[in-house]
Amino acid sequence: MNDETKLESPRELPVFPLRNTVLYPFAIGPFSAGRRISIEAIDNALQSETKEIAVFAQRDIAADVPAEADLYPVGTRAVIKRMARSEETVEMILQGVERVRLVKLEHQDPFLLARVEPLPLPAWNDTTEEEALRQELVALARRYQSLLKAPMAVDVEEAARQMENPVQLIYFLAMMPDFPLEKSQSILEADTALEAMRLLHDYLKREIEVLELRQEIAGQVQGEMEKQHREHLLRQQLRAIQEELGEVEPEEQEVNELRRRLEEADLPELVREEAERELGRMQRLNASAPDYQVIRAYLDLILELPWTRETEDDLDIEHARQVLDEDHYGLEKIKERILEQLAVMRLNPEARAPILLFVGPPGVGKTSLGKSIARALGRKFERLSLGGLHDESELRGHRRTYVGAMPGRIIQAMRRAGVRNPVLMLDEVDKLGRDFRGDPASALLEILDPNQNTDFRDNYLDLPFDLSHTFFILTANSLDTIPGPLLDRMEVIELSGYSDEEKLQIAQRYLLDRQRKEAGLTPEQFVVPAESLQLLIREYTREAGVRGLERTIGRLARKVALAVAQGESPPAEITPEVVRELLGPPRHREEEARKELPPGVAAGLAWTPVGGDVLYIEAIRLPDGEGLHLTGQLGDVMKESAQAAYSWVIAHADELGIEDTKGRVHVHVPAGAVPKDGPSAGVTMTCAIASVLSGRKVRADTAMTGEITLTGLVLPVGGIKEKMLAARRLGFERVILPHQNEIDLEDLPEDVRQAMTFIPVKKIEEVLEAALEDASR
Amino acid sequence: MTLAEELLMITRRLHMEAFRPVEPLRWRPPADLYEGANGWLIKLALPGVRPEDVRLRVCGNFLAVSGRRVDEESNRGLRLRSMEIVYAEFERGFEFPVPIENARIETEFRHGMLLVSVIPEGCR
Repeated sequence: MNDETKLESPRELPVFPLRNTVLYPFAIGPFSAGRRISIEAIDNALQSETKEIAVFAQRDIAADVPAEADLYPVGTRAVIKRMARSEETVEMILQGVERVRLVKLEHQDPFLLARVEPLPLPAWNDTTEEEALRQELVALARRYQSLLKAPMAVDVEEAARQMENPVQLIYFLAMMPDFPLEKSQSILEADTALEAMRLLHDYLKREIEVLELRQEIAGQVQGEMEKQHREHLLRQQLRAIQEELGEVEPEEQEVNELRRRLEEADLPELVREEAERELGRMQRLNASAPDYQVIRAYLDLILELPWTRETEDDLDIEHARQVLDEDHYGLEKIKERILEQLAVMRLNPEARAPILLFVGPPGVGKTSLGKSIARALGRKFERLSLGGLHDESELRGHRRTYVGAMPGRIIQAMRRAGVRNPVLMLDEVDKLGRDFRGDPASALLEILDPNQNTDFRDNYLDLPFDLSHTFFILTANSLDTIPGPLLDRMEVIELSGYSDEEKLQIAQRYLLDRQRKEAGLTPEQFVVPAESLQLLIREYTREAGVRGLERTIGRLARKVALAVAQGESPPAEITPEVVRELLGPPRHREEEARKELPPGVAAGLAWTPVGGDVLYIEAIRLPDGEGLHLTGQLGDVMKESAQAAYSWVIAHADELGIEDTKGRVHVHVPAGAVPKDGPSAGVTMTCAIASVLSGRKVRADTAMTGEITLTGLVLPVGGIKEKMLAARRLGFERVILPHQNEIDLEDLPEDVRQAMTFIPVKKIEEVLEAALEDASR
Repeated sequence: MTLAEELLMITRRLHMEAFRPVEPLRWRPPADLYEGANGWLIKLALPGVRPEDVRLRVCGNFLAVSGRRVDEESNRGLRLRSMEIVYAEFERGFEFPVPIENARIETEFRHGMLLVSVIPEGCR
């Protein structure tokens, strides 16, 4: 006990000045001394028996040799527990022993020597407040530790339990955070435990708040980052991984591929700009964005469209003629027209391609003629059917703002063709529909107008596309339903039906071979003589074209093929007997020209979409009543035509030698179930009525057609070729036709012209003259 | 956590780990405890400690040995190159099953070892 009192007296100790830190009593820490005065002080201390040294913090860290005023007045007496020298520094472990007050700095050279007086440990009065504060400090320290997220070498609570002296705990806790010197020093200077704890509490709390705030800010920033960039970062990582693996990202690849194609493509400037703009947009989009695929499809279209690509036309006229003749029998007028066009294109390459309209019954070869034209010109052939199309958007496309928007059929066809000068066939233009979604015919107007179609705008594409190099061919079965303005833009070429002779030629040249190959037969196995073909043409088919004929030949070929496949010996030749055997009884026993006609019956010629036909118009006189009675599903035009005929006959009764005009006349036009209309039966009805009233028969070998006026003029009618062919087919030798239609006879095949007598007429009197038998007969 | 934040944390942790403040001020000499029929013998390793610097205190069942070791070479005019021996106060306490206030306690220094024999009152 005496020793301890001895320690309390003032004494002189060498001073180790500290920069930026303090040493608390009980605390052990490593220190390094490099300054001359420090090393001298340590040496001095080491020369003492107890190795004691005084440690004071420096106020001014810049001072190399601090004066008394540069040192804090309260420091620590410490013991050097271990020591080792290196070249220029002394490393040592100090342990604080007790607090000391600097009484006087005795000298500064060669080291600081201070007179110090010991200070007691801060007083611990064991109050509730002190205990509460102590526990609070332990809790704070733990929080601080956890905020640092460091695996601690020292467990605070464990240390607190071990340290029986509460002041030791205070100093221990005060060393944990790296407090600024002023704070550490103030704790060291506190004279009571309560004061030291309050200071420590404030400092620690503030330190924790700062740490928490920092982490909160960091957390917030991170949170926001996550929201905004999570996907972006993931994508970047993915990209990095793919690069590592040598895989390029598919989107990137896609964009690169498109860019490469864009650079290689030959595009008009306007189109290129638009395409590049869209590509730029696409690049910024995520592949899963809905717009991405839309833009992609759009760019694909732009790149595939033939903006400038063309095939070179083959303008060799001889070659073209050869091609046309190879593919089609007859059709001289049309072939001639196409060759003319070729010649024009040869002389003037800038000439606008014509827009042709092929009108004719089904199966006459409109489509195949289009293909032949393409072949003759060396152009690509594309076709699209307009039949039943009733939405303008189908032709012109949907705007890209709509989901699932697509380019129109025209642009799609151009894309398929791959060149901008194909032969583009628009089929069934007469069957275009029309409803509230717009009128496709009006859209066709723009497409087919050579003045407008140099920059045709598809709604989807939304860029001008030049259609003026395209060779448009339209087809229709009839002109009636084609709007006038549309018709006006086209050059109408009529393909009427074929005569029996032509059909025979077509069958021999094309159909037989085609169907034989289809059935897999050799030429020897399928021999069909001309008379059999004629039988097929006359009795098994009834049509203007040759589609039915081809089908029938096909049926024959398949039946032969079946026999061959079953190992039976097929007929060496398909004679007419064999045909009847294989195909059964004829489908159409055609109404042949009646051998003799009773008075009141006249043969009229009619035009139907499937070719010409003969109608026997029948008239009888009823004993009672007056006027005209009409039956047979007649249209208004035909009814009026009949009225005119009747009126004319009554008015000219005397001249016609009609004695009695009394009684009602009934006119019937078979077949009763088929609606009929048109003015071309005018002359036929006049003949029938005149015949029944006069009792003079109409010549059975004569058929007729023509419109009449009330004053007896005969006006021209349409469909002359079909009508003449029908008359020939049915065995008529004489045909009465309007004078003005005589010119149409040139279209007839030579054999038909030779075989028949044509009687052109201007007035109805001439018709009656030619048609009615003499009264005497 | 930013890099600066990370560095800050690291420095603070290092700072904390550098200090091991739980060591008591006085060092604890190692000791052996022998049992005999009459009492106990304690052997403490106290090399370099002068007998006059050792203090024994008894209180109830407790015996405390304290004192200090000084460096007797310090005044030879030599310079310490390195130092591992702790020159400071030491203290060591022992608890016995019976009060020893009236026990016979003898000490002897031999080869740097302090031998303390404790023979309780009744065993005398």
